[in-house]
Amino acid sequence: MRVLLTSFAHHTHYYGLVPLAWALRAAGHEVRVASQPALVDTITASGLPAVPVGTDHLIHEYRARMSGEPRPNHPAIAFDEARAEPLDWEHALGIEAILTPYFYLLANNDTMVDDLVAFTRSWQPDLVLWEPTTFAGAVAAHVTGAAHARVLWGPDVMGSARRKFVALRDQQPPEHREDPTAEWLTWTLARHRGPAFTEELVTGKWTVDPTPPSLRLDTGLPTVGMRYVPYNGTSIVPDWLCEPPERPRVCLTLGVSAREVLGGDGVEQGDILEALADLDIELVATLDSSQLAGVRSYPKHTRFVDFVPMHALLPSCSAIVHHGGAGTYATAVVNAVPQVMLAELWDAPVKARAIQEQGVGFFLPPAELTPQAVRDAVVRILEDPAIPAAAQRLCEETCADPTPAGLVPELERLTARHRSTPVGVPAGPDPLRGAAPGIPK
Amino acid sequence: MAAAPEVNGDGPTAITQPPLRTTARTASDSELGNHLLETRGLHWIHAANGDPYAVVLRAQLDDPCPEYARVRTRGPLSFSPTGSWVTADHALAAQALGSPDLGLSTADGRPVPQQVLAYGEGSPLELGPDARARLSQESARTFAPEALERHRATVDRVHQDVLRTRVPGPATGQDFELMGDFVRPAVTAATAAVLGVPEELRQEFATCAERLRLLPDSLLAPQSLWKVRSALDGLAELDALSAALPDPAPGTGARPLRAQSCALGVTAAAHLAGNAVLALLDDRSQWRQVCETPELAAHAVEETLRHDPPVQLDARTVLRETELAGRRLRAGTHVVVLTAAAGRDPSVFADPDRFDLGRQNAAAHLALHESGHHGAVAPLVRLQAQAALRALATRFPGLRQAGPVLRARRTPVSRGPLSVRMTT
Repeated sequence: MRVLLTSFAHHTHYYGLVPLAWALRAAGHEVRVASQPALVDTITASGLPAVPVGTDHLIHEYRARMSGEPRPNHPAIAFDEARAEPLDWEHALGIEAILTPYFYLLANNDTMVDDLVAFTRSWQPDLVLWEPTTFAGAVAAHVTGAAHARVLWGPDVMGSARRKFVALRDQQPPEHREDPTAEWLTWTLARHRGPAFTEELVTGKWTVDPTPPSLRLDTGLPTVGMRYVPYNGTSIVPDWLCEPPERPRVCLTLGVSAREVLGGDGVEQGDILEALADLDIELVATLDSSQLAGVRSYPKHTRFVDFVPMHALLPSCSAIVHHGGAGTYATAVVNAVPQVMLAELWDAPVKARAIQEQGVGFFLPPAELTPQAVRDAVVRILEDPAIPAAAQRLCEETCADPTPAGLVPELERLTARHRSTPVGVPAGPDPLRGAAPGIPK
Repeated sequence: MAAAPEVNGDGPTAITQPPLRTTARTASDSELGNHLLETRGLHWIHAANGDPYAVVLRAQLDDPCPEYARVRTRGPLSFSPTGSWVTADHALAAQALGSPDLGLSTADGRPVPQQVLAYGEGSPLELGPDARARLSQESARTFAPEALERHRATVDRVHQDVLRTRVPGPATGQDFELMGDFVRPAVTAATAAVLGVPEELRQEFATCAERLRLLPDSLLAPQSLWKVRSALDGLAELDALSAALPDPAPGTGARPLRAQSCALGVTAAAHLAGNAVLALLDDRSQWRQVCETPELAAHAVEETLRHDPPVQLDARTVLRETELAGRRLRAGTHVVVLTAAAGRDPSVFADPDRFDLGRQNAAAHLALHESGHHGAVAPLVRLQAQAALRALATRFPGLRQAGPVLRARRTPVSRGPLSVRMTT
């Protein structure tokens, strides 16, 4: 088959697609990865063929010019699973009213959508796999008749939010109903003379979910599980990782994305370092020297590293303290590492709450975050054997799901079922294309 | 894609949406639709950050009065991060509405960024100063006291006819929907009759009025793309209708007055009548007074204009640097007068939240102000609401509300029931 993968230009959003793209390619399928030009180098560095589409998105420019609004931790866009208050129509609509123009529409700028549709029309993929906010992939597939699915990078907060939104919308008097996402996708489809909007434009014909089954959100959507395989970007494994640690190794990282994009850590890292200073641990902290200024003390055995690939580091760790980023969290799960999550953004509080409920670690929401609370959580993880045991169980659970390679036959079946024209088989000359190029499909 | 919203220097923390580069008519679906979604999203953000005027603009509440009260606590003139200066203060509101330094658009006629969109040529809300002056003259002539007496007879007759033919009599025990079964059809038909629209064009007239009912709201609160497109269709139809009708006095304000009566007058009159009925039924003794003395309808309408007006706010633009509430405002500054809130200013109206037929100074309200978009059609709007009240009070003294009031969303400017069932 021909498989087009697409993510808006944001490297950590893209990373979740990479192992599945490799698996499809290794199984003999043709693979392309489309994104805005800014992601091209990241795509080629991951060993996959890039298709630049449209012009770069303006998410960061918008946020800068809007004094940081909508700030990523704005309570008005908090997902239901991360809130204490019951969900009502006003909050559900508010999430869409803010995220549609200030995230989805920006991530899927018109030129990007238009070029992606044009490329899809010419390359004729059988399947389009899209990062869950890259609705352009759904539009391109819907317009051309390709099968399409979302590939998640965390619990399906968006699918869940959409389901709750639609249910609340339909309870309103018709005069009160409003659906910003459907409005945007409707005029976007009309611009490409595509079929009418359906909910599949938002949720895919099916969903690939790398979340461990017991942490998955109940969305009622057709979902196939996939064991998370980490890809953290190009990486060089440092020498010191070849030696087993002499004392419990603890990783402190507030996330590459949080540092590069959000422009602030939200917590004082120095205070956390000081709180951990008297513990007999080996601390691996992803901090650069500028973040160390003013820090009075830290554990005796501390390595400061600017970047270390989590998939190489975490197998040797006894605990990790992190901000709840998708790659860090999922890499910790598959390596059975207990987690302390200082979670605030997007789906992070949802994941953190689940981690705590499963006994795999601790959730420290911003309101409860103190350096002492971090210290207490780390100490409990190091002293209570039930916590690593729970982490091991969760790891085994997620490892029971098919790997990306193991999932490929299922994707072939689903594509055949959902594509509106016949689908080719992977190995050997493609009977629809390879044998006689130029035969119209 | 439109440029990103920007923080502007007018006030402490304004984040405003840059204006569309074209009129709504010439913008592509994507350009217009993105702009509408971004503006609505921005109002939502400001509202979530606690700005009461943004909550008013977002317009998701059945009752905006608590937000007006929050505006009032911020002082006579307060800055909203949406980029507008806002007042709920009666004295300041009267000063702003009467000031020659404030107008309905900028000195060069272009809309300010706080205005969501411009419809351009043909919009009854975007008249130049000369056209506006002609419109005022025409309004003064058409609705002069003796002319108004003639119209009163016409309007009363139409309202009574519509009530008799469309609503089952009190003896049948059937309920009816106040707005759809009576008020809107009566107001629409009576407006058409006053304007001399011939029978064969009445349906087109009604369609135009319906399509344009969101016009005033759409300038401040972004509507869905389809509703804006429908309003644009309505404006085109209004043009066609106008061309099909004889021009009673070429070169005067007669045509614009006809257009305003259709586009603005029908909805304002229907809402005024609806609000008056609901207020009176809310306190049965006051409804009984109107039933016993139908002449009280005029007073009930004035008290409704104070207590719950069909047009809740008036937006103005500073034409040349001026002073309001001790603050220098430069040309182009956007000032929003919450006329509905001014009607509940406790320093002018005792017990302001109470609807009171006996209130002596009810007419001191600022609703339908002569300087505003609805000024030219205000006499006809009042006449219609009075006629609707008289017709109902005469025929259905036992009128009672039989269900909840459905109110619109996204309508910070216009206010009135969408529908409410009544028993007789």
